[in-house]
Amino acid sequence: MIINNIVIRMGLFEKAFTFSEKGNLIFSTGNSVGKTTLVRIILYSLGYNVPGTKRFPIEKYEYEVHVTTDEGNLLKLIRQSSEIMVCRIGETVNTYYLPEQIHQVHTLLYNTGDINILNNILGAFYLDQEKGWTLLNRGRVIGSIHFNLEDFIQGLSGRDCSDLKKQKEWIELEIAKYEQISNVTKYKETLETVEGSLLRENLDDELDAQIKIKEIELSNVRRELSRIDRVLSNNKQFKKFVEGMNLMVETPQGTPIRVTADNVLGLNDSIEYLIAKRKFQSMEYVKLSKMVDQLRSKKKQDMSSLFSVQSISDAFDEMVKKFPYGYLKIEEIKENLKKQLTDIKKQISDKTRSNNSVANSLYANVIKYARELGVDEDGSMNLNYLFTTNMKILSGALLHKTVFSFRLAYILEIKKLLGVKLPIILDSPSGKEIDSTNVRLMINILKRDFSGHQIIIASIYEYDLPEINRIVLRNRLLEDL
Amino acid sequence: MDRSATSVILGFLFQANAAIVLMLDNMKELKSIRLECNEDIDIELNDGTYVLAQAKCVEKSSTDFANVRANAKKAMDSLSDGSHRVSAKEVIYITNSPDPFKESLSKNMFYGPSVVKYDELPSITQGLISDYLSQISQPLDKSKLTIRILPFEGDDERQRYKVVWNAISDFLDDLGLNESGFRKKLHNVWEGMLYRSGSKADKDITLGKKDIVWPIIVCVTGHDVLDRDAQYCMGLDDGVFEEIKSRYSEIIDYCSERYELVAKIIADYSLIKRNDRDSIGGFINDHWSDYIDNFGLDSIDESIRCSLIKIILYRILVKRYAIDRIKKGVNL
Repeated sequence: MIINNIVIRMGLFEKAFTFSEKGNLIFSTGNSVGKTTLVRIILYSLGYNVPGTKRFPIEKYEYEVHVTTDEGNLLKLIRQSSEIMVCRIGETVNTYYLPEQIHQVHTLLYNTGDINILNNILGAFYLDQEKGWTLLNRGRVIGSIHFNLEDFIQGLSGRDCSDLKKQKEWIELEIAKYEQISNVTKYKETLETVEGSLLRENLDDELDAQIKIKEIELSNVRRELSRIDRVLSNNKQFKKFVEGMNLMVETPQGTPIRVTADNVLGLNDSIEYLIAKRKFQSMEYVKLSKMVDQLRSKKKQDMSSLFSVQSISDAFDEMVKKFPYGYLKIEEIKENLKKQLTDIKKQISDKTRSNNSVANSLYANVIKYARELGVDEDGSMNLNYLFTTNMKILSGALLHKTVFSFRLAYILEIKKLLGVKLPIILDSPSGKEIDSTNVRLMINILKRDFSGHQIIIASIYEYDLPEINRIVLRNRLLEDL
Repeated sequence: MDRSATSVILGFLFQANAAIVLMLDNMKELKSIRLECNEDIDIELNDGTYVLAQAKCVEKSSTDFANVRANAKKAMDSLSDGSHRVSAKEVIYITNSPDPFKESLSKNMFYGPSVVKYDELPSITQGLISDYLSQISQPLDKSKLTIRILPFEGDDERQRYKVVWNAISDFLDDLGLNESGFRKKLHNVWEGMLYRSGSKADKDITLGKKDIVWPIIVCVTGHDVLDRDAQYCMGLDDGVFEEIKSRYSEIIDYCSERYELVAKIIADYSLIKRNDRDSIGGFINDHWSDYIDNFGLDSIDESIRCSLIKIILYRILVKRYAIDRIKKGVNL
């Protein structure tokens, strides 16, 4: 794949850079004139979401890049904005929406639709000036673009781990959730220790309960009142009946007496008693009604201030207090999930590594170049070293050269399996701790084994590459625009 | 009622409580009590004479004496006027100030709840009152004048009502009712009836004797009190008793308040025994089964039914006994 030229546009103005299919050096004698920016523009124009540099807001411009694929197709990619990309192949023009359709664009460039390869391919051929020279087998390439060797190998070797990966993602998500829950339960414990009485009861609940209790009392009183009224009316009717009968009785002395409510023993009393009892209940009724009204209006007031900061934090505390699980229980679940995660990771790793010709081939190339560059003189690098997480043992120039070896191995593997000769884009390969001898060794490898690849180097140094196309930046990159 | 009373509300509360205290003092002969008619408090007695009272409340009575003499003078003025409109048996100036004449000699007499007749006052205080009265064309009869101190101060009702509650307890004691558990309840009802709230402020309040006495009967025959007695008296098992109370309270109320049933039981009891509380238990144990059909409780379990009927009978008879006793005690 060859990047032929690139045009940067802003309105009517534009600036073009042409690249050779061999070696290219983006050069300036001083720093901060736009070498890194131009490298990033290349990636951005290929559809990658890379950040601009300090002085160059990359999304504000339009870019057109011409690429020749390994199949001989000429592609014109126009990145109109961060979201839209137009792609022309011959007479066919398609518009793609980024980042959703980025894989479709890259399939045209890299001759594969495998997501694992497409997601990781930039990490094979591009070395950012900052993080790039420390990225060995996993980590950030640039911006939000990552590289993971296991995924890359799975893609190249067609070993599908997607189910395991889904499980892994789910468990990781669960663990993240349980981390939060764990924090909450820890907080809950402090609430419980601090508390006792310090924490306010949920005022709303408390008020509701009070209202409910008073309403029940009120309805009891209401029922009692209506019961009293029933008996009272019964007794009054009886009184009326007695008086209406006009009965006469005779005393032992023979005196006739008319029967009235006043001389029927206890009749008036039964009525007076109920009237007095009713008075008690009525007073109680009035008292309770007032209480219910007061509580209800208090609730109304509380409701209106419910969303104050204070009440939200109180509400949160209440919620936390009601959470039925303790810190230890959550930790136990979390530990369990972590064990599961380790297990899944192991399964993925086993599936990726064991008996995998891609891994073996990668390893062979890594070792070849590393040794050529003077790394692994003691021969301690075994196959597992491909996946090492221990970067500490490598420092300075050693790391720089190992990273370079890994990347070259990746590029060779792509060429072997996909038939794609990736460009090699190196931003500032002469890092601080790498001397000119080592740089020369690296360039020699490129000249010898990667002569068919387009090489783009951004640097303040000169490099001994044949037919090198020097793009010299003198002032700011876009001063002429 | 708002207990954190402002001075106006406090004045009305004091008036109601002074009325309670004076009403209790005169209960035997009381016919009716009236507020804001001739005087702040008019108590009409059975013989047609009156006890008239002026009530003056000082918000900070233990420290503020600035207006006590002016209050006393106003009271004398009003009482003189009132005592000529009706046949006054006694005229009372009742206040919560412990030094109602701001005068050191009489001050000692007014410590705590006090009742001091004019004749018992030191001559200097008598002179002060005489001086007020001399300025009135038709002064009251000094021999009928009593000065009463009713301590009434503070936001805590236990402090404010201490003396009134004690007066109610003493009154119940005199009636042979030793249950002081309901004095507060009784006080609440009486105060409620006599309190001149905003809505009643422009009307006078008149209560007949029976309005005052029947609440006592309701309190005394309060179910908790009676039923506890009944349980003890009948030797009812705790569990059965509680079950009956919680499940059949409405039936108990209904049966013990409905006159047709009440009349029958009272009549039966009167024929067999004298109206005597001690014999009630014996009557119930012997005769409870006579009333099974009257109560219509066929569907209820037999042991429960037995206890239930006993409780109803007990309540009817003891209530009758209490009603008679109290009515007699207060001459109703």
